[in-house]
Amino acid sequence: MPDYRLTQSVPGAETGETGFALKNFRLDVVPGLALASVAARTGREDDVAARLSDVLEADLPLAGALCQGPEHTAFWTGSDQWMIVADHESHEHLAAELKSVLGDSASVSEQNDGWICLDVTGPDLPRVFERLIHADTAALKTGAALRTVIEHIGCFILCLETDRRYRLLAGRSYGRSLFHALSEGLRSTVALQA
Amino acid sequence: MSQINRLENGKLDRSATLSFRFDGRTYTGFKGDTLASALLANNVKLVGRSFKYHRPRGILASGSEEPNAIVELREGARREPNTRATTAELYEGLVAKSQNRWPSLAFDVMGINDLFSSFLTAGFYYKTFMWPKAFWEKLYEPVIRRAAGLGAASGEADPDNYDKGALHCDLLIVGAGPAGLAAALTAGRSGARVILADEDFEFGGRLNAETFELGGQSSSGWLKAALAELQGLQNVRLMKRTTVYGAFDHGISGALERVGDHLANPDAALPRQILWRIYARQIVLCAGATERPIAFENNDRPGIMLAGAIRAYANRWAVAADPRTAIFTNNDDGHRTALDLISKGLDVAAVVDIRPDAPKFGDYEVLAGAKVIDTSGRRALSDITIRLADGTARTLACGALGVSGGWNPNVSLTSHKRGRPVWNPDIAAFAPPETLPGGMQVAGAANAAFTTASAFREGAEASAKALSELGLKTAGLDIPECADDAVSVSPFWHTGEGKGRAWIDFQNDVTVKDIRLSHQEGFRSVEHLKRYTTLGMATDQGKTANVAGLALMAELTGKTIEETGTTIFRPPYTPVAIGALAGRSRGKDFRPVRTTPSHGWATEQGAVFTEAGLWLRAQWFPREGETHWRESVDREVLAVRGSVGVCDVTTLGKVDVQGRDAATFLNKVYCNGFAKLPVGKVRYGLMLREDGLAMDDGTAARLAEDHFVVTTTTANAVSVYRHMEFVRQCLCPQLDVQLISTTEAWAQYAVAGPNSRNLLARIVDTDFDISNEAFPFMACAELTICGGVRARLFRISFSGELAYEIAVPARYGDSLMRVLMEAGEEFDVTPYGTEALGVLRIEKGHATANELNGQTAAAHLGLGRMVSQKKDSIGTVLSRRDGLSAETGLRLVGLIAPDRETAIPAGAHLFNEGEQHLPGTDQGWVTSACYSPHVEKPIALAFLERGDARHGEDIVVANPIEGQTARARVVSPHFIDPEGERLRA
Repeated sequence: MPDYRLTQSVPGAETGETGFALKNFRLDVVPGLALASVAARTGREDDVAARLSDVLEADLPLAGALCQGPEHTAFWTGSDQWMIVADHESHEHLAAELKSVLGDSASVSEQNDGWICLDVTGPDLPRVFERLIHADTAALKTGAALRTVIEHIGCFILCLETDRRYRLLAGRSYGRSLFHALSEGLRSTVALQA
Repeated sequence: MSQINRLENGKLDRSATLSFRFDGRTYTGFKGDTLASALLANNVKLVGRSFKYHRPRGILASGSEEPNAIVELREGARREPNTRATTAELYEGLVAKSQNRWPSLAFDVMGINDLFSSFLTAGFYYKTFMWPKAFWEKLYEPVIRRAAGLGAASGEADPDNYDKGALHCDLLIVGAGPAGLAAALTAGRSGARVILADEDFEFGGRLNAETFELGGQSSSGWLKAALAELQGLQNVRLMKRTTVYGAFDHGISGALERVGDHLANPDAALPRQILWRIYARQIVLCAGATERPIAFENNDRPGIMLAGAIRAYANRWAVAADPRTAIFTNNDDGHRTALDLISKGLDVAAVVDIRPDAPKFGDYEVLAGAKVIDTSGRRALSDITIRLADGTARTLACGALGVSGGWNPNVSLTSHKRGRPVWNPDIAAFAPPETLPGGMQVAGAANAAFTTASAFREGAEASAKALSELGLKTAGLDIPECADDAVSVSPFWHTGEGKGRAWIDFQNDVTVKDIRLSHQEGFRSVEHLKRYTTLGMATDQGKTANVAGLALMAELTGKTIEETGTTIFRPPYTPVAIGALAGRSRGKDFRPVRTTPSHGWATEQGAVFTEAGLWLRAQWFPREGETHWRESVDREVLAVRGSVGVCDVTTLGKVDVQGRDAATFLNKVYCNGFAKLPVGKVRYGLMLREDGLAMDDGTAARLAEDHFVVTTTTANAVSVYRHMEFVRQCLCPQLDVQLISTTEAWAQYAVAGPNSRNLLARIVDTDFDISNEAFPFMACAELTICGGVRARLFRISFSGELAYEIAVPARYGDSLMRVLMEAGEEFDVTPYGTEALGVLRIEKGHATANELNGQTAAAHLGLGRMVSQKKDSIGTVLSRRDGLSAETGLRLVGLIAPDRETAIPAGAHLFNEGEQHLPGTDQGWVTSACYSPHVEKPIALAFLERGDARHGEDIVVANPIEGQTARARVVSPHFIDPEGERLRA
């Protein structure tokens, strides 16, 4: 056994930008997520849907939506493709767990830490996002999941509570820039509302 | 006396007195003033100098159509030239300066141009400055450039923030006058998502400038109630200070919201302006109309204004343009100005009406069938000369003259998608075309409905129609009782008397004479007229000038205005600052930055970073005492060759390729074979484009029968993934294959050098054997390190040394780098950056983006035999083209300089000794170059015609652009270990 041990470094930790608060708004890095992408193999779509629903204990989300089970969240990422999210501490090997259930019916790729996850909370958040996101965030209802772009950064926006709570996922390497874009968006929103 | 022209009432907050400076003098105004109204209130009539002749100019209009009152606003870095005083909202401490004059506005040396006006006619540029030819570059052009233009930019970086954003609505209403308000009330009550945008800082449009009653109450009372209702509707967004400047495809409109321009001390976090992209399912254009002047001799003196503007200044801003005003009109609207001025106790000298049957609506003198033919006054109007109906002349003393030549509907946005306005003889103006852009309705004055009642009616109807298109129902709107009398207008463009100049386009100094000259010289098409004379080409885009110019050309050609036609409008409706178009994308925020998990560690080591696409990569790691980057890079290269180095290669693209047909799929996208690659092996792969040229190279590692990990170059990660998805979805939909980008999920490090295995042995869990026998060159495995952390190990080499790439989940990346440094202390492990990486691969002869530049094929790279002839892969057939595969074509070679000092510049071209350096004798070019610590000389990779047969030749390396010439020896591109013994050790 080697003498060396590796420690974990969550997205955002390298720059120290893990949280931001201004007036009624909060922006927080969500560090402890395990992620895996699942894509159904050709001809096995129904099989995957059934097995994955069992894992989630919920119906699989349709296009533009997410679903939340007791331990997992899933959102639609493409035709017969989903991102599965769980707690990292208890599901660090999420991809392997899913593969063991899905077998050769699906392709599973580990995505742990490939994404930075940011939660934005506050009142009337579409007023913040309207200067960051081209999509119509005011029309998103709780449970919506949308792929979009913020300042050239591709990301998913998950509506956890209409108008008040959203989760954003973007490539980990963009963490610093995305955090900067969102915090500036919150700052200017507060200035606009003053 | 302060504000000597200020009247009673108006829509001002008189409790808020604001002081401001214009040309160094301090004045006061009130909240609600524009800079123009405040200047007029203080009897400042001379506010600028004209573009070409430097003529004294005053305020012509009261809105965004203003061509004359163009000033520099603010100071220092915030200075903004060419700003319209008529739209600049007054704030405490505002500073403005007149422009295009020296040394002062009152005495402008360049006013001498006016004396030479006969030499400065339209097109004088094209006729003069032709000789002597040598004078153009040194004399004429510099002098013309110095004299040209109006204001000057500050030259400093803009300190303000700008935002961009997107809004979505069912109905966008452009303009908040009577038509816009009626449309908004109709739509707002229906529950539709509505945006009401107006460029003014007050809603109401012309309602703010008039005094008539609406529904038995004052227009301001009705307006207040309407706005209160709209503000109470959650589904209606009211956007003041917002100009919808363009209509684009798919129902998208561009709008500029001026958020902080009117604030004395805006919050640093407040965006100065926001550029909105508005996605509207329907648009109702209620942009109103613009009054136009009439051309007569010396019609540009300060004090000569549009009649409607004089009325607006009196009613809205409580300002008299002058205590004594005359009116010159061809329509009834001019008379309304006279009536309003009289009601405020001002003196109306006369209403000069060109119509022989001119009406008279009040107690003022009407000179029917008369026309103004000249004016006088040095820096402001003092007298006008009138040709009476009986042919005699009469002079009237007046300090202001209100001119009304009729009103032009503001049809600009109907033209932005190639709609061409149509001539409407009833109003003697161009009106919107019958076929409007999809989803657009026009209402009110913009649609040639010039009465208040018709504006309300059309606004409500257009709104209802637009919403019915969306399947939404609306209730009828109660139109307030108001004036509905048709306005009579008699087309009249210029008086045609006198030898002096009569201005058509004030801002660009285009006169009646210029248009005659254009006609005389054959520039008669409206498009030629515009470009020859510059009619309508200034910042105001000819809002007050175009129609008169066209009418005059029609007269000269004997055609109707309809036959003469019109140019069409393009976005933007009013100028948009470049800063607003850029938004947040400027300076260090120009684009996002991508960092690797061990970026923080590299920063701690003092790494010098370079941009690779969006990534920041460590370029080299300087150590104490190293004064030149070459010292660091040479040290890093030698450390790798001598012991072991570690380089962060996380940025390489990684694509998970899974599925039953994964191998078949890779066989399709790579030109070399992958179907038989065993599990646990890696293979170098070359992707070709459909045209046979090389697209990208990388490796594919087979982790399982149905699972590969493909790597791409950093620069092409996105484009290769996109290409693979295209192949999967469109070319091979029958294959069972799934692609997932995992670039971000894995932190990956190259561990290279003779001690690399020894180093890795210290961290790889003991269950795994990485000896040369168990884990040979091009092996791969999923294993664990440091007591159970998942990792992927690939035995591949970019440096030519014994080398590996090791990947761990990204959250362990930073720690792995630190552990490798700690565990490698015994081997003097050295981190190396992209510069050393480049040197190592040039020494080994590995191609990268410099060689795969879209012009080269596999044969050029010396990889021709890699293109399998036994299978069909993308690009294989076209790679066989003569130009790509001929024996005599370009081949990758190495170049060695004759000594340590002779540089071989990348990009230089190759020529045979003794031949001229011409395209016809070009033998190839240098793609990559460096100093090689191994060879101890500058070396390079190059493409050379028949290069593989010319090893040992000397060749001329020339950079004709910079006059550099050197000689180099052609050698194999493999400067080190051509047999590959090191990497198999």
